[in-house]
Amino acid sequence: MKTKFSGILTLFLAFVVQLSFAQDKTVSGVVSDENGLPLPSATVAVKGTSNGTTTDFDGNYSISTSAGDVLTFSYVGYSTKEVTVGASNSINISLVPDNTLDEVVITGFGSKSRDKLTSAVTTLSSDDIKKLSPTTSVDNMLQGNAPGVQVVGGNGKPGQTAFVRVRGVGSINASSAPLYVIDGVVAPNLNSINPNDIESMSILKDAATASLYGSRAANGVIVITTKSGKKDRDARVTISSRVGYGQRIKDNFEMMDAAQKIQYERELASLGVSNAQSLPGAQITNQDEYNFLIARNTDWMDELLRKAYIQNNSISVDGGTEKTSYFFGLGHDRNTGIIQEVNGFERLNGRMNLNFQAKEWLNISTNFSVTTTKSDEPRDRNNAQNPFRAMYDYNPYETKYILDDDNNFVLDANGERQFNLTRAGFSITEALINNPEIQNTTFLIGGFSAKADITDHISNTFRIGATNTSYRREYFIAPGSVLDGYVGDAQNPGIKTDNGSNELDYTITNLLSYSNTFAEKHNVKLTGLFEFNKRTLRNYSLSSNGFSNDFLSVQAVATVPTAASTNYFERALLAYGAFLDYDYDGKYLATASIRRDGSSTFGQNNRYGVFYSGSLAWNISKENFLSGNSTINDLKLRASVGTSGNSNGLASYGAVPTLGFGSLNGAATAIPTDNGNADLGFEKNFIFDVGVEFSLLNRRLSGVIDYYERTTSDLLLNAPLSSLGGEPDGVIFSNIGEMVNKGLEIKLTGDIIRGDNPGDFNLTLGGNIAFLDNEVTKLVSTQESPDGEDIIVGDNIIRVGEEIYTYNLVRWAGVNPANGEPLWYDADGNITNQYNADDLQVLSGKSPLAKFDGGVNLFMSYKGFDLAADFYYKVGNYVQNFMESNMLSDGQSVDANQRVDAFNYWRNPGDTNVLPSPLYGNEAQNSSDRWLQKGDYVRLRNLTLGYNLPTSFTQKMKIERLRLFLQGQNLWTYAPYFNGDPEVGIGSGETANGVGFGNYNLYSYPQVQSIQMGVELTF
Amino acid sequence: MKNIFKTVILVFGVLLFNSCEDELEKLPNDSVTPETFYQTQADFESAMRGVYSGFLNGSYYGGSFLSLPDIMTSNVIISPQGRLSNQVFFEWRHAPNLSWNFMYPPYVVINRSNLILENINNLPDGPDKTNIIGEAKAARALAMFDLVRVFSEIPTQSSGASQSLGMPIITTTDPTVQIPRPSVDECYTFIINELEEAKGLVNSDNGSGRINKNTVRALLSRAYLYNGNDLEAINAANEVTASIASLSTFPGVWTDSSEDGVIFKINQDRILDGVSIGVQWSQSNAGNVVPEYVMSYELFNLYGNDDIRKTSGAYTQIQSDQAGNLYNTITKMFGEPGQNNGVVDAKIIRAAEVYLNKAEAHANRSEWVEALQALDMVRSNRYTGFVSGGETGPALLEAIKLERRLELFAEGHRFFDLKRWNEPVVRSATDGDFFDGSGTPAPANYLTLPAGNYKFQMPIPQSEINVYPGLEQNPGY
Repeated sequence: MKTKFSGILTLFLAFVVQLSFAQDKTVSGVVSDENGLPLPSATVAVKGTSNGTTTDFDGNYSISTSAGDVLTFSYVGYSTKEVTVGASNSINISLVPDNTLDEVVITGFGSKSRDKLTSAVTTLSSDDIKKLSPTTSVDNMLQGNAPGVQVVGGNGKPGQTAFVRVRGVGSINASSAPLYVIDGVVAPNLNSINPNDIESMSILKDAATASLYGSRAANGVIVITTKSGKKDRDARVTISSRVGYGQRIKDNFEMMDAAQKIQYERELASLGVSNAQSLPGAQITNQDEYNFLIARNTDWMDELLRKAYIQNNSISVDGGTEKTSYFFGLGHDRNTGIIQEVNGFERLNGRMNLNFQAKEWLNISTNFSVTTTKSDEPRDRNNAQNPFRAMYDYNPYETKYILDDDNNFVLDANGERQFNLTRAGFSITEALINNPEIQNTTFLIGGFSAKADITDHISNTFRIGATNTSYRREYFIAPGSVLDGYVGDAQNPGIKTDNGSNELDYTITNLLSYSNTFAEKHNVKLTGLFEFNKRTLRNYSLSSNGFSNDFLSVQAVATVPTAASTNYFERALLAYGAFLDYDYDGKYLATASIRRDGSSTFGQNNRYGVFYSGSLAWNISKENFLSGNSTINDLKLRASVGTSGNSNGLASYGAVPTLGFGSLNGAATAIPTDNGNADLGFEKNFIFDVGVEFSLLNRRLSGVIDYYERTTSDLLLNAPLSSLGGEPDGVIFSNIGEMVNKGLEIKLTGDIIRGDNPGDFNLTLGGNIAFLDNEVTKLVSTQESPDGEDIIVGDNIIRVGEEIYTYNLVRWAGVNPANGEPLWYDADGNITNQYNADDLQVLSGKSPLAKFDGGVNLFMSYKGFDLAADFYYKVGNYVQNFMESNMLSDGQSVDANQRVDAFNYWRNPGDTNVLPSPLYGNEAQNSSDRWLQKGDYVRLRNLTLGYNLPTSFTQKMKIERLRLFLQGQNLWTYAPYFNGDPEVGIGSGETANGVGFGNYNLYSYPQVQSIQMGVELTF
Repeated sequence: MKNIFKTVILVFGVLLFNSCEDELEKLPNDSVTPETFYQTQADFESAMRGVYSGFLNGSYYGGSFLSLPDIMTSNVIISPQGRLSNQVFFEWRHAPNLSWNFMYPPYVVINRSNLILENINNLPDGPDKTNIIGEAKAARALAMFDLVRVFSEIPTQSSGASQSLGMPIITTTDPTVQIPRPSVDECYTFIINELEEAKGLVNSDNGSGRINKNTVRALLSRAYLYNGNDLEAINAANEVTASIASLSTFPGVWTDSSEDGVIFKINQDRILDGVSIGVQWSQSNAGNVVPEYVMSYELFNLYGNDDIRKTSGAYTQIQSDQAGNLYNTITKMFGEPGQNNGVVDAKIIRAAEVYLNKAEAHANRSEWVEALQALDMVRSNRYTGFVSGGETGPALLEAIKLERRLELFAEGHRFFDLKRWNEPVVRSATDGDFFDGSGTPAPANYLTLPAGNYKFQMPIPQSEINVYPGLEQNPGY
């Protein structure tokens, strides 16, 4: 760092050796950064002379010059600007960061300047994160901002984390989620960090950097660095506060109102649809009865939902003394969510990062954070208990409370309104009140390290990192609640379940490094790694029945304990590694790594894995023939290859044969539970990457292009056994499968308009696109299918030669215009009116995976104002729209409310573009690709309008900075093929989904849009 | 000095490099490895309870094995108000890809029994050891018997049945075992030999919920009857010392408040085990039911008004769904007293069946007097003010078959009885699901399953053939 700094200064001074004359005026002004913050110690010089000065702490400068001279303004890490002196004696300048020049990229076990990196690493700075930050979980922010990182929002529930896949799906039975590392400590999930604390995020996508993490890196690594203070600087206080509201994104379809629904019921009943005969619409005999029902018209969305209240406050203090630097942060988030009667999500966190130069050769540091979250959970399953199903299903002529014949509330003995159970036999509001579920999670994350410089060239870093995650869930079915009537014990009413877990994950790391420069140009760094990781997970679950009232729910008051269980799981990982970095004068770069990992998860015969990587890069722009070239400012070619492993998400003891204990009628049983597999080993990942990085035209256009091929082999699959052997789970878990992900990633950023002076109009446009192609290449071989037996996962299939999770459905052939009956394609491709569940077709190319996705980012600034817009787009994925199948149910769910376009059914011979006749509803609703829809969409993820108060004001107020902003999220969506919200992650929260996410929608918490205003104050 | 500190720090780091390898040896905390188990009498008793719990699988006596053999006959009718579960079987649409996953649960029971028998010599010789051997062998034979009556023909059903495909007899603990299907005859020989051997080993009384001598004798009477060995069936039945539940205690058998006449059942704890056997028939909350299957109107009318099975509400009651429709719901597994959760002990064999086995075997031998005597033992305990019908000849055989249908309703017998008698399933075209025979009748396409139809043998699931192509599929599929 320091050498680079002085190098740039020297370079700069070389331009300004000449003396200048005719200094007939004094120009003064302020040099500030892109946000309007003053830049202290920036260099201001008269071009072509040795005349120069630096700015003071407030960015002020004053220099003698004359009209017609050219002033150069420069600051490390920022692009140099030149301004010709005119008549004015005042020139204020804002400099913009020069990302490609001196960006330091954190790569996990170290950091490198961007130009020395040989690896595909995408980074997000704290400014990027600030721009995107309304979501409470950091992973959602990566969407559209990091090419090659596929992010699918889980759902709209406050506090929900997203599904993140770096360069595609990497496993079938193990985890495909990336490794998260916060300040060197492996973190459980991203709810554990306050986005305001983040300094930078690096996504390690290829082997050259990720392989250093060995057996945990197969799905990519996301390295997060939190903020730190600066030595020798006064305390700086930053307060940021945001408040706003959120609401359900409006559907792109309409539900029926009472009049329409009654009309629909009447039509179907008169057609002869048996389900409709007993419904109110069919029973009406006169106008009065009709009017009576119409008068009850209820909008269930209004009855069940509300606007979410969103609030975020955080305060941080950072600074340092001669030997210390510190960052201190506190944060509080709250999001009530959009369901009435539920309190939503709340998070509190605190952080202290401290660095102390204990001796000249010894630096000690600690990063410690505490985060606690509380979430009030609605039921998220596809049944009557789910408010998001209820709001579509409940009939508009049904009411929330029981009404009498005059439409007055019927009161119970206590004078309370009584909930109407509706045709679903359940009142969702009653359930939300009487069946509360609370989840609490507390994360303690601490890293403690000591770095000793043993000689000038050898240093040793020793670190202990630990994470403690404690999770607690309480679910109470109050006595006398409707649900208790269905599932409870009549003699001991009320059910309470307390369950939870505590996980301690600690890692001891020792890094011994040698670095030196030979012959002035050969830079070598060699690092040896030792790492030991141990994880212990303890869990418990306790249930009781029998509660005397609905407000005391601790099990101490229960009459009958019904279930109790505790368990614990341990796993250990031991690794040794050696890493080499080499460069020749910054022009030719190379790295190599090797690492051996052993995991307790695996069988004795196959416990260790060796992982390696190698990479090369060429900084062409540093060659003499390009030096000083004004068209090509930076140009680098790089290539890397390497391996990594995966054991995440696997059972701790899958390799050993086990015999478990249970009970029958209260007495102990002993039951063989698994035969184990002593050959069980790591899943292996091989990735090859070539990339080019460039910046052109005075760094107005910059970009990164990467192509990669990622092969995951030894995928753990269940090789099925015949039932004859009575193997407890019927399978042997073995390293068998193979899968390939290939992709192309392009990221471009251009300064379309770049103003010369502070406050001038600036316009930057950025965009990225990532193409991804997945192919399964090997599965369990059987006599019938030597290449590999298909794995059927619900309506999806894993088949050799196809994309993973390709849809496997009977093909829908539309509606017969002659009689309105549904038609399908049979196995031979002929149209038939006979549905046969065996006519499944593998729908090649149709899967929940997108063909490509990416983002478009627009940034404009003028004077103190700035406007940022971030779009995300996704193309080529398919989703089964199960919600639509319930809302256009061809009469099958005529007792529940339907979409208005359900009226568009076949009525007369010759009708086309219609739904099937409800007389064939039962057949028409057979599982087929009728509801499979393209999930393409573009969404305006974020729109922010900000205003930085002018320096004149902030100086008067003695503050460093004051920013006001207005931010909208998910304000606009374009989804040409999908009815409903196209961002489908979790289909149904409490329903097991073998595919994971994105394959169907089924009433999970909908995505929300929000508008928030905020203020950021630094002093 | 400074260098000493540096060295200390370096050494401290290096010390941690030393052998952490032992830490990679981790064993689960909730289970043991099988080699270390099966040592003491208590181990074997726990393992034997593990065998019994295997019978309580939801596809076995914990559910569909007690319901499907009635669902596939005219004893019940599907209710369109329910979830239409098991409709495939009601409509005999079962196929290799749409099959009853019944291979797995019995072979798991067999595997657990085999593990006991393989390790039994860890116990010292003596009565405890022989008792465990007897229990394990009888349990294995019962699982084998259930497999062959589901997937194979029953020897009495046709002249070629004995030589048709049986089910592999597994006596090894190798999880990867693959053995082709033997003949039905080999299976019955194995079952009968094992039961005869167990009869000499097992204790007379192991207490409720366990196999004892009477269990083995009773199972033998059934196996011999299925195999056409009428004399042996009579002899085995005569050895059974249990008596039939009386008029007064009989209703309590179905709420588990009495064990009268129950020779073998799997006991479960309503809360700890909570296997909801009755959910096969309906789901209920206080007051209302959501019926899946209800008693057919035809069968309902066969129960007289002096029949305790009907009058006590033990077998059927008129209950209402939420919409107010009334049904003859199936209450045999409705729950313990005051409960409606369907959790009751799984009854596997009762004294009444043994007498009916005996009556049928006598009738098959035209021993009409003895046959009537055995039948009346059952009937006198079911009808208030009972007077013998005094039947003889073919009318007596019909009376025995009728009583068997009435007594063993919803206990997993009807389909196998029709199968071994080589009789068809015939459903009413007009009777609906409501209590008075109105409502929705069975679909017109699914009224008759002709006698001897291949659908009486369940198909081997395709998934089993995929992993073991040598396992031959039943004819017709």
